[in-house]
Amino acid sequence: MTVSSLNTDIKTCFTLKANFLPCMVLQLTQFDLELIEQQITSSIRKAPNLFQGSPIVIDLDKINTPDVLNFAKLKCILISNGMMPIGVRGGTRQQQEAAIIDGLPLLPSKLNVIEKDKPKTPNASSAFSKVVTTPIRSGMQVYAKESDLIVTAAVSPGAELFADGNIHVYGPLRGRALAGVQGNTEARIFCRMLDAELVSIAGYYLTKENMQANVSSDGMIQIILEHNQIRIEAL
Amino acid sequence: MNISDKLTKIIHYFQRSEKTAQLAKDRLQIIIAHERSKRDKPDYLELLQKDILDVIAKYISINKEDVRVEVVEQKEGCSILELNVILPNSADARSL
Amino acid sequence: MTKTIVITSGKGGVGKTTTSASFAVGLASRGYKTAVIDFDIGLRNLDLIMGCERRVVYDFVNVIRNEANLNQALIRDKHIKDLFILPASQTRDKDALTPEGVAKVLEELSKTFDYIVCDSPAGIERGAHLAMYFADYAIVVTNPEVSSVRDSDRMLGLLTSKTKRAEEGRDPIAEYLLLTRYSPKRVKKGDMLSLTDVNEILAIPLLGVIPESQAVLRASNTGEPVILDEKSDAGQAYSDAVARFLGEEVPHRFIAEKSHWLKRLFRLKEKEAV
Repeated sequence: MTVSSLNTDIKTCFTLKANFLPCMVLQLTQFDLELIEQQITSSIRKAPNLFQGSPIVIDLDKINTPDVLNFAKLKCILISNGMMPIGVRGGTRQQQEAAIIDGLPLLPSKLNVIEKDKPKTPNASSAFSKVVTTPIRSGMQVYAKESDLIVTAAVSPGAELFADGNIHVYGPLRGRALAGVQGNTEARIFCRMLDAELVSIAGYYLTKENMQANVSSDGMIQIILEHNQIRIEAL
Repeated sequence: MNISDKLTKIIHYFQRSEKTAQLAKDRLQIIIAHERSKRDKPDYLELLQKDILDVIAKYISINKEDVRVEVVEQKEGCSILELNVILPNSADARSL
Repeated sequence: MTKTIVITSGKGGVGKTTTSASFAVGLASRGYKTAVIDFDIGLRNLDLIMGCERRVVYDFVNVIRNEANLNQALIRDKHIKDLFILPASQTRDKDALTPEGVAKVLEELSKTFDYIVCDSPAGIERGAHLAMYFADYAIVVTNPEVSSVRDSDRMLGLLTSKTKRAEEGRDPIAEYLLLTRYSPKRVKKGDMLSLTDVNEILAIPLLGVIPESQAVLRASNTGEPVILDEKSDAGQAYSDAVARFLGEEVPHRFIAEKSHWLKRLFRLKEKEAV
């Protein structure tokens, strides 16, 4: 997806972009620093390279006590074990303030972030879907932001379809289709003729060579994400 | 078309191909020789030659082949622009 | 109103220049004043195919740079009086062709010409982009071969977005498919993509099918566009294509396998070629 810079002035030296980045979360259940240190050290010993230099967010959602943790000390423990704490989320207001004072910025709590929460939006389709009726040629890209994408013409090999929601292709699908690109695992791809180079839902993908040819193509085909695996089935 | 006509057609067909290949070779030799000689020269020489020809032609009756402009590389690393003009006899010079 | 046609493909070597030459001859033969322009930068081809390579004095870039005027650069074709050729520059400078420069030349040609045929170079760089930018019609030349079809498809994508018409929101360029180097025999054997295969993938109106023909090589050898070889299949196919472009209904003649010449030689009755 290309993001064209707004008001490109030769003098500007940066652009601010919104992004969703993958990050590890350390969900604390107790405020026992000694225990935390012990368990972290043993985890690292089991998988030494797993956390090397990884950014990590400290999650206080499961903490039941209103006590304030010594976040500075927690930071030292994490850093000495090779992790990079970048922020804190959840917890009480006093806990959050203490974290900020100790140099850990406050990150938005889970409910505000578009994530794989099942009870929330099962399909990210907004009021209107994006409909494309002309053939999508090799090299073209179409992105349906915060909605479904419906294509009634052919999608050539080398073309790319992106949607935050579902993708419906009524012509032959020969290019790439990526649904739920913002992380919506409930997104689906529907097509009549599947000859795609690659299909993907919420980041999980399947390439042409791994697609089974045994799906009957008389009717519509549905592609869904189940147990983190892409499944292709006849409707 | 009877058989002898068809046979003539076949023979003619093969002769035709040979002829066109020869024509192609002739055309290529001429055009490539011309382009090679131009390749190492600066781009403006051709135009310069034409302009000089036009100027001289205003005063003297002269042909394109009688004017030659060349860039000659000297040993010291500099180049000289050499202009050769073959003037006709004074009897041929046009009066103004 | 002058009509500008771009002959493009994406893939190289599929028959763009051959087509540009024959198409321009075809149009001019019917009385339309036609200019054919070579949009390549640095490699000159159209002049050789048209047979006027020895008469090139000034080229496209000379005109853009005001080093020569259009009348000095345009070469009148020796076969057809209404046909003029504007050769490409041999300059090494890829920035020599500018949108403004090209627009200026096309505008000047529009004053007196009925058709402007733009012979695009291969690829999608500047020369190819400028060749299609000002066009009203596009003839996408395609071989029945995988990479040619994909490149043509890519080209079609660019034609819908990267042209003046697209940018100004006017009616889109009228796209036509010209399938070249077609061999019905190989299609029948299953060795070659068929016309229907290609048409299904590219999905644009078919202007013509030019059969694989030895006449094409002979034509470039002699510097006479193949459409002038009226006895050849390719020549006739190009003639048909021009007719179709001008609105005539012409059935496609060279899409079915013709019977072997040996069979025909020893047959007493002439069999009509399908």
